[in-house]
Amino acid sequence: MKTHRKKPRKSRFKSWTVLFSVCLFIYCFGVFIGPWLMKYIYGMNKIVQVIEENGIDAGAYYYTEIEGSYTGQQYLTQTLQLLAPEHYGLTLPLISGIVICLLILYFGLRALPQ
Amino acid sequence: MAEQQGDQVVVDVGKWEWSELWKKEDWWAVWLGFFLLLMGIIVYFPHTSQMHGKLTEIEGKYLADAQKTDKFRTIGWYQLNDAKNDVKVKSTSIGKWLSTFSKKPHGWKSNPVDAFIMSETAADAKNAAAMPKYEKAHAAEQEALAVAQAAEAAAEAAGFSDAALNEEAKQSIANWRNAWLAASKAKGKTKAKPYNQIGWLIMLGICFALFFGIGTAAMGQPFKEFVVGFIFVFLITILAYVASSQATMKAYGIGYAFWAIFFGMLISNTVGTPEWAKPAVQTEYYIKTGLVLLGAGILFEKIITIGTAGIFVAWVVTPTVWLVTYWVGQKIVRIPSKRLNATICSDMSVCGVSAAIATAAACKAKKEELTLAVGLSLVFTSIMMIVMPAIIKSTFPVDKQLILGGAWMGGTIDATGAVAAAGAFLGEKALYVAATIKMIQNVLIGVIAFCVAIYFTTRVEIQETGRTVGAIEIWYRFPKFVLGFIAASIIFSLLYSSLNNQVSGLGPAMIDQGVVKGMGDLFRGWFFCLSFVSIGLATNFRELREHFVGGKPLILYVFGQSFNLCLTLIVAYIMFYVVFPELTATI
Repeated sequence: MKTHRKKPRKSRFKSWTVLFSVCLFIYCFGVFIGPWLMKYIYGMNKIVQVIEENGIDAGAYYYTEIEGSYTGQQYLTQTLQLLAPEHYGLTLPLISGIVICLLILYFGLRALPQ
Repeated sequence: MAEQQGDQVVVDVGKWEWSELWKKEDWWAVWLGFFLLLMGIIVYFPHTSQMHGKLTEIEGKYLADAQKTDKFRTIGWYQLNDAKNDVKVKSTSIGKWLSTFSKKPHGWKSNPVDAFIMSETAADAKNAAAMPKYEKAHAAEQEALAVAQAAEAAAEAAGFSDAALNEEAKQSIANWRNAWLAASKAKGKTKAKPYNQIGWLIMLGICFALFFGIGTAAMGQPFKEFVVGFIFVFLITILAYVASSQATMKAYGIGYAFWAIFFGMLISNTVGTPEWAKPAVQTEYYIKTGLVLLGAGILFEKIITIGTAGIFVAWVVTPTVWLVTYWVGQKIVRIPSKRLNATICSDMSVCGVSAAIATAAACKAKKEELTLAVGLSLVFTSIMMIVMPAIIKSTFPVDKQLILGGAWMGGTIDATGAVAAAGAFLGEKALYVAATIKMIQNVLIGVIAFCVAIYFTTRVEIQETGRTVGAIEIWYRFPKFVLGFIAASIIFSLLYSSLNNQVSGLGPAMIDQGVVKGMGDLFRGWFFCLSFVSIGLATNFRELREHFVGGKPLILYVFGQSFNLCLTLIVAYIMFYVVFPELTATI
């Protein structure tokens, strides 16, 4: 990590000006520019409407942060358990899928260039 | 024993000392992560019999109706589904308190103060504005339910053998579900409550400072200096959350990771990171603790959710894309850093930011490499979230838009939030399929991180150091926090399955909606955000630019994502419509 030497007064003023200008621009983008721009991006308005109506956090990074993952899991689990039980649980194709995945990783990583 | 290489990466060299257990951040990450998970168990597990009782009661009430026929999903089938979804141990009073205590800043549109404070008058006004829409939607739902009940009764009276009556009932029930969905969304908007988050955030900051400060002190750094610096890092973290919770930023899918890195870099490259704040700029420490918590959410039983077809889309395509892209990165694009290559591959093929964090930590990538990978993912996620549903709507046959489109988006769009948004755009079923495929891919993070750690320890580091290593040397070098990450995954997977064996739905109610969401997740987001702020505060624009020379990371990402799009679409089509069409028909 680099240490920062104390900057001259003029340079410090410039740095603070840049910092505040960027923050101001971000605020303006969020409140004025961004919403205006949405009108010109094809399909954007519709997806924004869906996000707002469903209360989806489009910035979520992991399934546990999305309610749809749980409702979807419950829906599909119940579907398979009650309507297609032969496809639920540790079926042969499911196990073969897992085994294939592990084999691909094992042989693939061994074959990668050093 | 640790040896510093330059000022970036810490590499283990062959010597084990027991004091590492309390002197190394890898182990502290494990202890702190498990402390929180243990707290989750202590807090929530005494409620197991209560949740068990609720689920048994629900099954007694609706199961017979749900199983009346296999010709279509009955009203009872949906009521069983909805009632089970509502059983959550985090809804107990302690769970609600924990949620308030660890709450991130709230959503806002034009006034940033709304992120922290909402008065009772404002909350009442919001509820009153939403009430007419809800009342209308509720009335429509009741009406649709009555029609659906009549249609189902008519089909039942014919012994479910009249195809026309069955079809009519199916359609009426589908209409009721749409009305129910609209009513439940409208109801959610009428539940605004007043809040003042400032006091809670101060308390949370103090707790985090003590939580991480104890480990820092044990590792030999002055406790007081860490706490003073932490105040600064925590304030930037709050700022990142405030920016990410702004309505427009949410709509564009620009999450906290971007803002944390951005604000950190903005400060460090303009006014400079204050010297007194640097003791708390501890990227690895926060990230590894967050990853141990992430491990608890990697539950192996989840992979059976979408059954046999989904596993091939999520678990066979993903490692194939990872390996091919890595190979192309090394042999054709010639990415100078193997660690950057691996981080981009995980980021693009598995699930974006969370996979990038896990891989970068497992292969000991530089902070600039993680920043680049995360940046690429965020840009492409935003684009794909808007473009993919539009392509599916305009080019896919109508009968394949929901399942095939959902599986395609779930397997290719990096971030889970964007997957959910794009899926919901197509419809409820597409959302379920897309989110579930992404969830199964999320489970793969553990496997990929473990394999990457082994590969870099046994292959790449040998080449870099020019020394061959035995089994004991592998242990010395192996990033130990990965053990905590894997252990958390195995322990909670076993708990999840054993609870589900007692009564269906108990695993999700106690683990998903308890220890994971009601404890681990509440803090994991904060820890990742703290680590991204630390990355930003320690990153120089010039250093970042050096990693981007020739646009090679971008070329690699574009190649990998294009390959991913093609392969996922082909495999999803084959699995859902050629190999298992009868399974797809039931979804």
